[in-house]
Formats: sequence, C-alpha cells, structure tokens
Amino acid sequence: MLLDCTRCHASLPVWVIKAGDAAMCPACNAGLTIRVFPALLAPPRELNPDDLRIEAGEASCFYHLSKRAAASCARCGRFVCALCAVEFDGAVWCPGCLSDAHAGRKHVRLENRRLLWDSIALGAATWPFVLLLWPALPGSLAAIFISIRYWKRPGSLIPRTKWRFILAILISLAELVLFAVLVYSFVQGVRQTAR
Amino acid sequence: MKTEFPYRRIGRRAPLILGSDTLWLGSGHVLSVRNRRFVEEYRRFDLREIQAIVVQKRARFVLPVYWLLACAAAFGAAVAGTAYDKKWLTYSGWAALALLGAYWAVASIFGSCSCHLRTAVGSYELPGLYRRWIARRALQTLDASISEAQGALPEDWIADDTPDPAPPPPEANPADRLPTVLAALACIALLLDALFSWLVRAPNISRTLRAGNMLATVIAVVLPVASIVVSRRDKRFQFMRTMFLIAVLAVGSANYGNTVVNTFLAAVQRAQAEPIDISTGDFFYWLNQIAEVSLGLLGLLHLAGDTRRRQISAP
Repeated sequence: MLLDCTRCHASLPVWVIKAGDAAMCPACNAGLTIRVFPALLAPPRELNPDDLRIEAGEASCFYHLSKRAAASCARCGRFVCALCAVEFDGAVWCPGCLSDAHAGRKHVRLENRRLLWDSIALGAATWPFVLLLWPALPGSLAAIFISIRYWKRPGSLIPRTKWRFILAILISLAELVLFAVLVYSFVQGVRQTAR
Repeated sequence: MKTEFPYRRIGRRAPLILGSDTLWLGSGHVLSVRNRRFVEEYRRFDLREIQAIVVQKRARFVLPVYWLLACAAAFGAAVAGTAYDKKWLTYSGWAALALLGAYWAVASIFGSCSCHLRTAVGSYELPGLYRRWIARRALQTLDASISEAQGALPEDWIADDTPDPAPPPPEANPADRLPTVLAALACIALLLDALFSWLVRAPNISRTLRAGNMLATVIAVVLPVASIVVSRRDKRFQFMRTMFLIAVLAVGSANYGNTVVNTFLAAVQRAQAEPIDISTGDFFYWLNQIAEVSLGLLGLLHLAGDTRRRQISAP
C-alpha cells in the first residue's frame, strides 16, 4: 500500500497513483490529483544493532552508557548514539538541547505557537466598547499597557505590521478622553444641582 | 538594512470565523499557519520528508444536513409569520433563507477541492488551497521545490513487489445506466410537479390540469422511490438516495399534510363554531415548491457533475 484516498481512506492501487492529474478513487469515485515524491519510496531508516554495541576504549552515549557514540551535539558537544542523534536544521542535536530549545523558544524553527499581542491589545481596546460592556476603562488601560509592553516582542512568523498596536492605542486614548468628558459632565451636573 | 522575508506565500488566505489559515514556502520547509485571532499555530513540513501531495476534488452543490435544518427553520419562521400576519417574522425568515442560500452558493462555488500532504507520520490538510486553480499553481511551486530537495522520481518507480497491474476500467454496461436514467427522470418529475402545482394555483383551472397535477405528484413520489430501490447497493448514488428520501418526505407531507391539517382545522372549527383564520395552504404550497425545485435542480447538477468527472478520470 503506497497511498490512501483522502476521502474514503481506501488504499489506492498503483495504476490510480500513476494516473497523476486524472486519478479517481475506485472505491468512492473521488477525483484526485496525485504527486508522488522519492521520499515515498525510500525504505524506513533501520538501525544496525552492531552500530550501537560499545567496545572497550570507545566513547559512549551521554544518555545511554551502554551504547557507542555516533556523533556529537552541535550545540552542547555531548556524545550521542545513533538512537539519540537528532538531525535538525542541518546539524546533529542531542535530545536535551532540542527539548531545552523547544521549551525556552530559543530556536525559531522549534516554535509551534505564538501569541499575537497586537491582536490582543486591539481586542482589549475594541470589544468592551463594541459589546457595550461599559465602562471600557480597564480595557483601554490594558490595551495601552500591552501595546507599550509588547511593542518590540517578536510578532508573527509571517509578515505583520504594527498597525494594530497603533490603532489600539488611538482607540484607547479616545475612550479615555470620552470617559473623562463623561465624568466631568457628571460632576458639573451634580454641582449645579447642589447649587 | 532591510532583511528579506524568508517565506513566500502559496495559495490564498482561507478565512475562518475566528482567524484564517495560510500556507508558506520557506527554505527547506513548508509552513502552515493557523491564525486563531489572538494566537498563531505553526506546523512545518520538511521538503525532504514530503512523500506525496493529493488534491481531492470536492463535490460541489451538496446539501449538508445542518444547512437543510437551518433552511427548514427559516422557512418555517417565514411561513408562520405569513400565516399569523407577523411581518417582522416573515421578513426575518426570508432574509435568513436568502443568507443561507447565498452561503451555500458561495461555499459551493469557491470550495472546489482540498489539498493533502502526506509524510511518513501522517496526512495533513493544507490550508488556503481550496480552489482547483489555486491548488494547481501551488502544486507546481511545491513540485519544483520538493524535486529540488529530493531529486527526481526514477522512471521505473513502480516496485516489483507491487503486483497489481493496471486493471482495465469496467466497460460501460447498458444495465449500469438504469440508476442514472431513473435518477434523472425522478429529478425531472420533481420539477414538473412543481410546475403543475404552480399552474393549479390559478383560479378557474380545468379538470384536466387538476388531474395532470395529481398524476405529476404521484410520479414525483414513485420515481424517486424507484430510483432509491434500483440504486440501493451503489455507493455512487448515496447522495441521490438521501436527496430523494428528503424529496419523497417533503412532497408527501406537503400534499397530504395539507389535507390532514385542513380536515383537522375544520373539525376544530365545527367543534368551536368559530372560524380560525390560519392559511395553511401557502405553507404547504411553498414547502412543496422549494423542496421540488431545489432537490430536482440539485439532483440534475449532481448527476451532470458525476458524469463529467467519470469521463475525465477514465484512464
């Protein structure tokens, strides 16, 4: 079995895969366009047990003392066996460095999630106002704080400008001014009533 | 100094209710970005590990059950508004129905395919490639990049241990045409019944037309049932069977429901000796018309698309 149909998950015969642009699943009649690449035909990587067997005088793996070292980590220099050697970004990394880099977000290619602070700031500035959750004062203050605090924090991996931050600050300032005017009017009204 | 951005977008932005999905080509990998408004999630596919890309053509003009239920609710609201003379309810119902129709048309026209990427670990749907021409362009770009990373596929890549030679496609048997012909006739019968039902609403109609309407209604019920029976073991007609089942239920309930409800109301009126001002005829008329016209047209579109797809894919 080489490939499955993406619709019915039935295995596709080779003559269907070879049809390329005009393929059709024989089970569900789904029209398919299939591109196959050499990685599909590559045999799964298998480890030879002899490569792991350590002999006297040979360096051992940092994580498996009973296994022969096959490479050294490009980041920390530890010896690692063929089981532990992880090829990443054109070099060999040990599992510990990979885990550290992932947890500490030290390598951009290991990041799988980013908070979008500019969207959060804009949301904090606009949603309380739009949904009439009055007063929007805490939201405005939070939006200004987030915009200033995270202005230089790396944003998205894909192109993204700062207009959300700017808009969040402007809306928040407008809301604060509006709030101040309302409070002032209220106080004036109370004073006039008292007189 | 301005640094060059390391990613190039492939395909389009797939807008969602909360955020959007995009696909990017970077150095040595493909990046799938899932934007959830306040957070972005990334998934990378190394070009050397991509085994295959499969673009699946999607059936257009299909009716999802949730959409049908929503339409039924909107239509019910509109009819109830008409019957009880609540204009706001009537207008809301028709507006909701129009919006649902527009949504269905847009989803059917624009969502014509889905693109899946296969690695040794699993299969993933690529975002942003929801139209065939976009997928075709993206496939060209990806094909070039992946071939550069992996090299070309050998000419004789079919391994010796793949025993299945290309089996000849089954010859078109005249008996196989019966379900298709019957389904097409059933769709036409539904449309004809809708036409007759519209004609008999005119005042002072002839008895022949009335009889013709009754005959058309009977045919509009019998032919879908026959089509369901004939194609009951054929996977290709699964959608048509579901559709015909809905049609039979709708036409049956519209034609006989009117009689039943009128009888019931007459009994209530007699019991209370007071007239009840509820016009049920409009409700059942519109139920009949919408069910027959939409299902009939949809069935014909589906059959036409299915026949065309089979012609294209025949090796």
